Amino acid sequence: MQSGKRAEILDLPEPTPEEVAFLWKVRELNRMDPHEYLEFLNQFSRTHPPGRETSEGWPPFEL
Amino acid sequence: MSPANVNLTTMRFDVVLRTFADFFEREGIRYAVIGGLAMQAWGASRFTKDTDIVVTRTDREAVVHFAESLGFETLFVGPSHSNHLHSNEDLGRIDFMYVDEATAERVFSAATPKPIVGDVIAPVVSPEHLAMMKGLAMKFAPQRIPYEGEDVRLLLKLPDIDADVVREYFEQQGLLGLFDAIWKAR
Repeated sequence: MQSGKRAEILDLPEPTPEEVAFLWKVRELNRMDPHEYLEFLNQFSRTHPPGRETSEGWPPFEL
Repeated sequence: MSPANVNLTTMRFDVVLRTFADFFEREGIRYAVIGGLAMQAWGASRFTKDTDIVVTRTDREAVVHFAESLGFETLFVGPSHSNHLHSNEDLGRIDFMYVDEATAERVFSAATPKPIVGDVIAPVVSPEHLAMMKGLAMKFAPQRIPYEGEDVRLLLKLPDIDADVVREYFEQQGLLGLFDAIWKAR
């Protein structure tokens, strides 16, 4: 089991032990195939719904 | 423009992506997947709460209109981004990045069709451009460095990535120190 601090890299500001375990499951499965990843994402999105923050003020990407 | 014909009770990441991909193809709109789904396509599964897509800025109005036709609430529309959220959790959130014609030509020319989620295959931005976008995100929002930097580190480990062009972009953005730190951490 990894520390909570390590899990911060994956958008989990205050990860629970279950989330950290989930994180490591993901890393163990890397790389998931598209079907595994879809199942994982849909499971994740149930418990971490998207917020209402916006991209206002973000600079354009220009090459 | 054709209205959406989707089953809202079954829409999930793959259906959201396929619905927009079908719309883009129907309307002749060039696009590519960016963000967390693009990271997965390049070999690094990660958490993501939304679908991120880049299109040309001239297609912004059509894209926003289509999203709203699906019932997405438009949270924000600006020159370079728009954000859309659906009350149905199965549709969730989709964000768009808008780029100028010159940038679009380079981004779309370098994009590669890849499996993303489920059975969906869609163009994905090159790892170089994805790393550059993440560099810009870190410049604008330094609090994102821990995880965006991790993504860049993973991208720079890809065997065929042109690290020099990524380094050049980071240097242009005043992020050379950050690039070098990430490079050393590969």
